[in-house]
Parts: sequence; structure tokens; C-alpha cells
Amino acid sequence: MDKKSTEPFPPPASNDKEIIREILAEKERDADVADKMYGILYEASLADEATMDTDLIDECVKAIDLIEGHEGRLDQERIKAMRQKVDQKYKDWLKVQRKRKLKKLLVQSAAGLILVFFMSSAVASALGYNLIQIVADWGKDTFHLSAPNQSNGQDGNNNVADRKIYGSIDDVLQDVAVKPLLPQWVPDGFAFTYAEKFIRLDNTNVVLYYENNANKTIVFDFEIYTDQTSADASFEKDDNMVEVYEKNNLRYYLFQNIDRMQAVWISAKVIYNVSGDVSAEEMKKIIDSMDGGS
Amino acid sequence: MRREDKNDEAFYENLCNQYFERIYFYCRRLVRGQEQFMDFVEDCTQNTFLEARKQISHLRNHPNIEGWLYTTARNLINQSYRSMYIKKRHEVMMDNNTSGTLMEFEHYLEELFNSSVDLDRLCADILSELNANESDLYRDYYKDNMSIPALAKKYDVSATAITTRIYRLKKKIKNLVRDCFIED
Repeated sequence: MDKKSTEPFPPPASNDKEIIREILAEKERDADVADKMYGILYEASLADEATMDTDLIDECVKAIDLIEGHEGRLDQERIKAMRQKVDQKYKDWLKVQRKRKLKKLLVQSAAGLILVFFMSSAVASALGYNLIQIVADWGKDTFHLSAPNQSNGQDGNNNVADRKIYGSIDDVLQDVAVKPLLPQWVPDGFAFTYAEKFIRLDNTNVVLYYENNANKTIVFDFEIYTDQTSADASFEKDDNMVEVYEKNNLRYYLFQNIDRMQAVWISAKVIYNVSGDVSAEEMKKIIDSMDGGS
Repeated sequence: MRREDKNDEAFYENLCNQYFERIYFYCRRLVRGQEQFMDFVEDCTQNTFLEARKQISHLRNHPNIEGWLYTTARNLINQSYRSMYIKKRHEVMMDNNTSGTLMEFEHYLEELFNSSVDLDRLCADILSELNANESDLYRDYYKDNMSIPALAKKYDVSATAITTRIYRLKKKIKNLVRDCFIED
């Protein structure tokens, strides 16, 4: 924007009379100058926020205002009225934000309460924990559950996972103390691709990956606990309500997270977490095929 | 109110005091001062500061807050234009009748000025109407013969900005001379 002036040096004038005479002698059509100024203004306005020459913009604005007879300050009452409108709009925005937050919190709390009761009861009874010892908390978008075992003195840093990848389901489940229930049905086009196993001090995590031609996936995540360990599970979810699906006296919790359907339940020392690019109905069919999870 | 919130409020207040008017004038120029778009101007000015208020914590650490305000205002004006499907947004010219009349009058200004009985007094009157900044520029440019690059450095603005400022100074002097004769 740093254009060279056509007048690098001022006119040689010794006194005010000559200077003013010189100024008056310059004949420029205001419309031409205004057009030139608009050109500079629009060019300067194309810059990004980091490099914008706001001084130049101000100069152009003032020059055009002068040419068009709009010079002078804005009426203070008018500014006040406009600022009051901004304040009102901001208050309205805050109200909407608060309502949204509250709505989200309520949904999360409701989902959290359902899950905490279900998970604590199931894990506690399965592992012999006292319900009061089970600690649950949830943040903005997550639900977290943990049940510390007094007899287990390991701290979190020692609970390092040993991760291995497997090409078949049989291989991944070899040496796993408690065998999780496996899906007998998945939606058309999905096929098993690979599996992972994470062996930790307090649990074993088996994950099965299914994929179709459109790169859609279904993930079966089994967290398998033994008697002497503590249980810990966290799930992320969105604003949608949790659906409770009952089958064979077990409750399955279906919810969505980032457009993926997710189902969570506990059965026989295993926390099941199935997520995928499937509908709620398809998820229920998957659950049914896992023998109702029982 | 938390201390952080208080600081945000103070920062926002300062932002409004410093830039509200400037952003309004900028928006007005972006619509070429056309009366039918004055609602745009008000709305876009208000919405620029509404956005600023929503993002005030982030803006406190912004490296070019002025740049942010101006680009936000520009984007809002462009959005308003788009929403009205106005394609030829820069094509409305100023009122030709008004400018023509002024032009004709200015043509005789030099003559009128030269024919003035007390030129020294007239010059003093005209120059006394300049504000401090304009007087400084008048002195630096016309009396001390400072070059554009030197002025740009002194006033910490670009050469184009200082040229525009000089133009504005000249225009103001012309207007003051014109006003003197209109009053007479």
C-alpha cells in the first residue's frame, strides 16, 4: 500500500499567503479525488487483520467525509443508543448461551446418573465393591467412572498397556481369562479387519475393528476385569438423550457421539462398548446377535 | 464479578470509546455514504462490537486489534451486501449537482483570495482554524519542507496515509477560504 507520492517534496513557498495561494491554485475535481480515495480505501480494506493499514483507512475515510461534507463527530446520543443495542444483543446472546449450557448439563446429568447407577451397581456387584467406594464424575462431554480397589496399591503410571495387533479374532482372544461375547451379525458390507489387545496391570482390553467399502467402521471394545482389579470407564457423548434397550434382563445404553452410534453395557466382568457408523436399529440387532450380551 | 471479567469489561469499554465512531465512519464509507444503506452501517457497527464483546478474552491478546475490528466490519458489510444480492456495490457516485456547484465556486476561490483587502489577516484567520495536528503537518510540510517519507516516519504511518492526510489538509484550507467568502 506504500504508494509513492506524486509530490515527494512540498512546493517551495516562503509565507502563508503564497502557500494558501498555491493550495487554491490546485484544481482537482472532488469527484475524481473521492474516486481515487475510494480506490485506496477498498484496496487497503482487502488486507488481512494482521497487516491492515488502519491509519491509511482512517485517512481515506476522513478525506472522503471532508469531500462529501460529512465531517464532524457522530452525535453522542446516537452512539449511546447504538451501544445500548449492542448491550441488549449481548445480553440476549448470553441468555441463549446459558440456556444451551443448562440444557446440555441437564441431559448430561440425566445420562450420567443413569450410567453411574447402572455401571456402579454392575461393576460393584461383579467385583465385590462397596457401592459407596465407586467414584463417578462427568465433565462437559464425558462420563467417567472409577472404582478404586483398596487392595490394589498400583498407581496410574504403572498401569502401562502392552499393545499387540492381531489378524484374527481367535488369536486375540487366546490367553484372555474371560471370553467376551462376540457379534454374530454385523450390517451388510462390514467385515472384520484386525484386532488389538492391550494388557494392563488391572485389566485387558480387546478391540475388534470392522470396516466396509465406504470406510465406515464398527469397533467392539471389550474391557475385561479380573477379581483383584479396579474398574474404570469413560465415555464421550453428545447432547442427544440416552436410550435404554432391555433384553434378557439386561440394560443396554445407546447414545450418540460425533454422529456415531454407541452402546455400552456390563456383563460378566466385561464392559462392552460398541460404536460404529450404524443406526440405532442396527446397533440393537448387533446386540441381539451377541446373545443379548448375556 | 471476577477480576478477569472486570478486566474484560474495562477492555471492552476502552475499545468502544476508542473505535466505535471510527468503525461507524468506516462502514459508512464502505457503502459510499448512500442513505439507503445507513441501516447496514448501524447494524454492522453494532455487530462488529457485539462480536468483539463475545470474543473479548481472546481479543485482549490480539496483536492487531484495530485490524480485527476493521476486517470484521468489512466482512459484515460484505455479508449484508451479499444478502441483498447487490452486485455493483461501488458504483453509486456522489450527488453530481452538489459537487458541480461546489466545483464552480472553487474555481473562483483563487481570484477571490487574491482580491482580498487584508490577506495577512485572512491567512491568520484560516490557519487559526486548523487543529493542533493539522497545524503541525502544515508547518512540517509547507514551512519546514519535510519530504513524504520523512513525514511518514515522523507520524508513524505509511507514505500513502501521509499523502492522504496532506490532501485532507489542503481540502480543509480550501473549505475554510470558501467559508470566509460565503460568510462575507
